[in-house]
Amino acid sequence: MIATLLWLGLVVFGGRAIGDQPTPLGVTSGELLWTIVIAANWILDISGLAWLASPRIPKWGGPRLQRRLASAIRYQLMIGISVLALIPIFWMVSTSLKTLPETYEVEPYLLLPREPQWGNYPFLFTFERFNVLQLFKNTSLMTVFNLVANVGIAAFVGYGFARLRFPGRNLLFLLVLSSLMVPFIVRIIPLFVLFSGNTYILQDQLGQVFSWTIFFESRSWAQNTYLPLVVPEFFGAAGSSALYIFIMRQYFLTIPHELIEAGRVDGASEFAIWRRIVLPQATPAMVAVAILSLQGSWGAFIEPLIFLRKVDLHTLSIWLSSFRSVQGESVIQWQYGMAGGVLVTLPVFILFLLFQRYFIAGISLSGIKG
Amino acid sequence: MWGFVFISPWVLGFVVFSLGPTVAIIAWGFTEYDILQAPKFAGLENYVEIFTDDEKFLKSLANTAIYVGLLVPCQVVIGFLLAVLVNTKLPLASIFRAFYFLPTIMPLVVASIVWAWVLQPELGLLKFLLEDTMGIPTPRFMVDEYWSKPGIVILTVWSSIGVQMILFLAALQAVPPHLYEAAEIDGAGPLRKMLHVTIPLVSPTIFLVIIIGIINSFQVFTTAFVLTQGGPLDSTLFYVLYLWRKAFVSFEFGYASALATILFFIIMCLTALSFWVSRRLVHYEQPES
Repeated sequence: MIATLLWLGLVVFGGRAIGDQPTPLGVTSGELLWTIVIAANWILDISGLAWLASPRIPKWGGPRLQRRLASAIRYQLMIGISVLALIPIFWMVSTSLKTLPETYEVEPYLLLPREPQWGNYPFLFTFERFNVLQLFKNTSLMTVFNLVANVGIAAFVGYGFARLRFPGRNLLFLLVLSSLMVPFIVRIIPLFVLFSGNTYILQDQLGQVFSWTIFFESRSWAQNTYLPLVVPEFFGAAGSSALYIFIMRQYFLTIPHELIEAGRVDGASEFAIWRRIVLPQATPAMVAVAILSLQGSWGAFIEPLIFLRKVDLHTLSIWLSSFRSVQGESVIQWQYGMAGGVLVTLPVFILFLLFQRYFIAGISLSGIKG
Repeated sequence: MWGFVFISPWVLGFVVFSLGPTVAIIAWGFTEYDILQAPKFAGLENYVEIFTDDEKFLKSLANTAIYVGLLVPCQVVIGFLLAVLVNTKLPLASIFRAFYFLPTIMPLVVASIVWAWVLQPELGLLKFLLEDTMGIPTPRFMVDEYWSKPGIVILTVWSSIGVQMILFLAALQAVPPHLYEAAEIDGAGPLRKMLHVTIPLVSPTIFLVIIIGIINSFQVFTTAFVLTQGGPLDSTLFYVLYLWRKAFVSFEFGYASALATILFFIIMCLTALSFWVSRRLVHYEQPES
């Protein structure tokens, strides 16, 4: 563990490729270093942890030592995997603070910028093609609308499926779950047709009959709006709505029967029971749904890509994806792409740190995400 | 009847935004439709073209199948091992759990461009860490036809493994301890306990992870769109990416609808197949009466 840190420190602060020099042993310096690091790592770990875990030096062998060895190995693996999990995040932050030439330097290879360029972040807000402040506003607005819709609808419909009896309930609930199987593209194509206003099929066949299709006469009444991104959520019919309904239903099933019965005895209407008695009990599940919904719409990509075809309506994720291609420049400006990535990730990371428990509860309840 | 009141928004949404679209997609599959003019009935023309005269259809289907075949086993195995690893009361274990979960929090688009940069063939961090520092030859993930799919698999495993870990962790913690004690009394070692107690008891979760994995990864889009845009040599032209181009780049809605119908059919068949297999293999704990 200590050696891992040492090695990282060496690479980071040495800041150059240490691989290619030949050594007297016939292997390259990189290979030699790597072998030494791994060996030292394990020795330090095992002895260090065995020592740390007890005030007395244990007898050699025996179950206690075995247990210590096992936990030393466990720590070793956990640390190693954390490095794998965190390195790309570190790399994103590090690159975001570099200058353009620094991102293209190979000899020596810079793991950290020479001088952190904090100015990269404010610079993002001065782009001409994208008004980043506007993008933040767009994305947050969509996220908030979807959050309200998802939590409200899931709590409402979920209660119906959990605690009210009506014929065909189980069959309908199966239908809720099976709608998770519908590929998103199957939902999006007709939605696009519907909201693009080019609904000839509706006009031809229904136009004479229903006066509401006059709506569709003005061709582009809903083209380039957020409606197709928000309206389905208000009817529990977006990609992950079924999931949220499922989470709420599972939670409502755990609310004691007596509470609801007491409300009925008092003559409260079912709506009042839901609003006054059941909802206040369901805060944890609602928070879980809210967070999953928030994270989902904040990073939503394909729907905005398809429905929002004007630059000033774009969301943050579309803006970020455009960094991958060269935008009129001769080189990709990785440092701005990474800085944008940090900005977009930061809100959800903070949210995760604050509500970690609910995140994890939501996922283990629903079993499905992403 | 209050029940119907409560579920009515969902019923409406289901009819308008799920059932209706499915019917529309199936119907448009038999038409020629460019969205500017009303759909023209074309019989089986789209399907005949797809199955006899569309190399990209086969290519994208094969790409997707390979991708699913690579990704889902990785998710199951790595997710399970990771859950076993962090299923401990040792101090700091919860911090490591949070670390493994962080990539999952990150929006997929951000993860994709970060990995596009990490895997970059000349300047990427991976090449530096493996090749320049240690002398291990590194495949050129984004430009090599044979390594582009594994590259996307690595990114997807990195960014989704937190979910699988949490699911398996919940399953592991639900295994009643007395079963392990009983196995120990019978003289079972750690390996036997794993094979005969743990795996049968978490098999419903294995099944869940596989089904979700198949449904989700068959619809892979964002990562391929951001990382490789279908290239190199169409090696990451996945099914939905191809479908998206047909629908929203060349506006062949009839053709795209036929493709979407096929996709829906494939996903339904795979789900049904998994359910059928699970009948035989998955062990569901009987609740004690």
